[in-house]
Amino acid sequence: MLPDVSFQYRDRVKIALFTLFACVCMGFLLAACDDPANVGEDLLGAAGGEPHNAVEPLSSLRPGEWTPSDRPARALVGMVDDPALGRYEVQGYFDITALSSDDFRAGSVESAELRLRRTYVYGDSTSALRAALRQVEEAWDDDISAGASFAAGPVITEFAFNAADTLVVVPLPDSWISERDAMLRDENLGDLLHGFRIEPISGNAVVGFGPQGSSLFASTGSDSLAHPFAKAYPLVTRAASADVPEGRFLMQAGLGPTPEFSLSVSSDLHAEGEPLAVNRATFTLWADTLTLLQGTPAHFERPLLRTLDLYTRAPGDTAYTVLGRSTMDEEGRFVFEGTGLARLIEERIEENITFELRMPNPDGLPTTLSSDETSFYYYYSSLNPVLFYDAGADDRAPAGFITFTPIH
Amino acid sequence: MPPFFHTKPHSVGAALRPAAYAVLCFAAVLFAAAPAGAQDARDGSLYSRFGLGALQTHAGGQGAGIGHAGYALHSLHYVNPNNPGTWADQTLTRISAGFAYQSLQISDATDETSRLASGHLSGVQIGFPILERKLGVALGFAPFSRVSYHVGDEGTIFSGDPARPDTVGYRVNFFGTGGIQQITGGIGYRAHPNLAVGASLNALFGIIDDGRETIFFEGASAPPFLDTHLETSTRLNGFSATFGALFSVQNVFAEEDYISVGGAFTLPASLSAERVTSLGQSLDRDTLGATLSGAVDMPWRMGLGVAYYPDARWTLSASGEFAPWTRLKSTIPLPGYQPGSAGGLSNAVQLGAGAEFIPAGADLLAAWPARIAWRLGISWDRAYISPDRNTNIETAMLSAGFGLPTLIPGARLDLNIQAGMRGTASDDLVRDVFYRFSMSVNIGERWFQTPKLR
Repeated sequence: MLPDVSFQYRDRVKIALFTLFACVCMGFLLAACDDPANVGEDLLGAAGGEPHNAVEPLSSLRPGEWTPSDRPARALVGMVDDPALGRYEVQGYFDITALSSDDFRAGSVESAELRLRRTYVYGDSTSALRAALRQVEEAWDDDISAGASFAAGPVITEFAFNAADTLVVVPLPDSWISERDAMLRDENLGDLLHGFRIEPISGNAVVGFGPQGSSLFASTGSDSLAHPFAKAYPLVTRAASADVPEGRFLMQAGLGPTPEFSLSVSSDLHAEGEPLAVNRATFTLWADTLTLLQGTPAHFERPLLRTLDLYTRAPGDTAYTVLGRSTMDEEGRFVFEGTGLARLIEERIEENITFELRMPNPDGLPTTLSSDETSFYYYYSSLNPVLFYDAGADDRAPAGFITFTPIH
Repeated sequence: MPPFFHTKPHSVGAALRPAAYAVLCFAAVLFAAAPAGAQDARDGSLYSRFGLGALQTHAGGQGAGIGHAGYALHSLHYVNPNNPGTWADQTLTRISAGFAYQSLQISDATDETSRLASGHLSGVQIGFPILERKLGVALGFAPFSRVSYHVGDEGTIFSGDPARPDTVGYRVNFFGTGGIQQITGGIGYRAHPNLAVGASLNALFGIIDDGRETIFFEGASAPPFLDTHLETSTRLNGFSATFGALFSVQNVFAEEDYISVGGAFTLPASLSAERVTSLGQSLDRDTLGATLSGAVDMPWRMGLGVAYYPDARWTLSASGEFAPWTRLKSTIPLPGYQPGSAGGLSNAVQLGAGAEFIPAGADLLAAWPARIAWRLGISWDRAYISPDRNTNIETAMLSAGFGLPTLIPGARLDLNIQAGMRGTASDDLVRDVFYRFSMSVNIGERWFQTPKLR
């Protein structure tokens, strides 16, 4: 007998039936498993897909155009005769951020001194230095081209210090103070005083002062003010040409130049019009640390540029794009790698791609520890060098290691 | 006329509600299956890589259980997707949808094996009468061909980095997904008490993706490698038409027996093809080269079958299909196909036979177990393309299943199991051993008809 079911009940059964069907379907889909061994690969024939390696030489290093615009308020000063790189003389310009107080302005300035906190040494760390202090007599700002100098007054004072001293106090003569009493107490001191210039007289080291802990300290009877460093500019003169060996490229903070090079992928790796997938790209540039060490006496400190950024520029374009960062390893290698580099080479495989090495982008550098090798000051207000092996240096020449997969 | 045709009156709206729900369910399954299927649709036979993919046979819930021997099969409970001539005999609006889950073991000559499993929609069919048992319409959606394979090859490579001179493992995966889908729409007309004819228009469309990816296993602390993802997508579309006929005679060998002979002929189809090759993943994908346009000319296909119904309990069916695929022409490269040559191509043949037994016959008042349809079938086919031009790829398959009646007289749930073997594990070829579990829901409902009062 036909089951006596109501239509509503039948509807529910139909709904249940389809719901069951849908659930089972989804269950099957979700339960799908996958264990694809290499069974049957021979059926594919020469289907490709295997990666290959290639070593692509990089071009000779050539001077780039980039000059750092960021300049921390650390005053470099001194002269040094680097046995490896030659003789440098650095005049340090610095200006202050003027402070003011009613009590200070009410009295007259009784004493003033420069308090210079040493945060950097390049050269003989046992050296005794002598320097002259002058007042800068023209306004200057941060936008200074390399080699610029500014008018300065007569020598205010000469002072001596040791490169090892961590704090150098330079008392300013009473005569200078009395002549500038009103200016020193003026609310617009920052506009009236354009800073100082320290000129090296003797010594065998370049030291950096500030910015932390360095100031123009002035006292009246009722108050005292420490005007901190606001900006600085080192005028570096290479008194004798750097004795860079053949086949090397010298990059030096504060002096430049930045090394530029290019990659032109050989036809062995890439036939024109044939697409190529780049799986990995590594640029290796070797630093010649041995040459720098040779003939370098004890106590001679020469901090190196240990971390660099790799940039690239499109043909005809002036803007550079950062690709990666590398820190020199124990063997003296800078190894640049990353997906950005691989993608760039893949996209521009048929071009002559230009790259440039720069000091690390200051935006990502800490500014708190001046002695930290990763700090802004370490790179941007220093004479730190790095000597690269250039093309032709056999197994230490700049080279690109590329892992790629042919498409066809 | 079966008693369930005269039922308690109810409103058309009420009758449409469950049917509308059914359509919604189908749509939900279709949409749900599409993305999930895209993820897992690599897990099929490696032979599907070649040509336009592995041709699919959609015989419906009944035909799948009896060896895909469906050209002469006709039943008031099912819409036969193989022969438009059978669509004339319809009394109810009928919706059916099938789903298959396949477990596949691939072996090569060295007895290495890989195991894959996946599920896919096997077809959706809707049919309804215009004139009861005189003129019927059917619409269907089913895969025409399916590309679904995944094979990998592992190796190692020097990392290329002098700072870290070690080796890095990698794997090259070759995979294919997609296939050609077919939407069919047509009519069947009973021209004579013994003869029904039908015709359908078939829209063929789809995308076949062949991919290759090189994946590195460099580890978290190792130098980074970019994987390579290369994919070739071929979009195909075209039309064909199928003409079918069903000739039936009663009282042939015994009283109340019944024999049908059916056949269908599908015209050759020319598919337009566009191929794009891309490198990269998702949004980072770069198109390589220009779009390649061409055409693929597929041959005609003919199927013949015979079905014998000794009584209301038994159905015996056998059918065969032939398509001269050696005439395949394609202006775009296809794996295993060489333009201007029939090398690797074969004329496709499919043979099947099976039986269905319903203990209660047409007695709808019998106990539920007696109304279960028991099915058994066997089939064999020769694929139209082979990666080895000296060896045809043949498939032998056993099938068995049940057609379960439900509380609704017009509805059935069909469960079928198929076990088969494809190819041979010799030379570079592989042998597929597959187990396929398929399920289809088949519901009949009165639509568009005025209910009759008893």
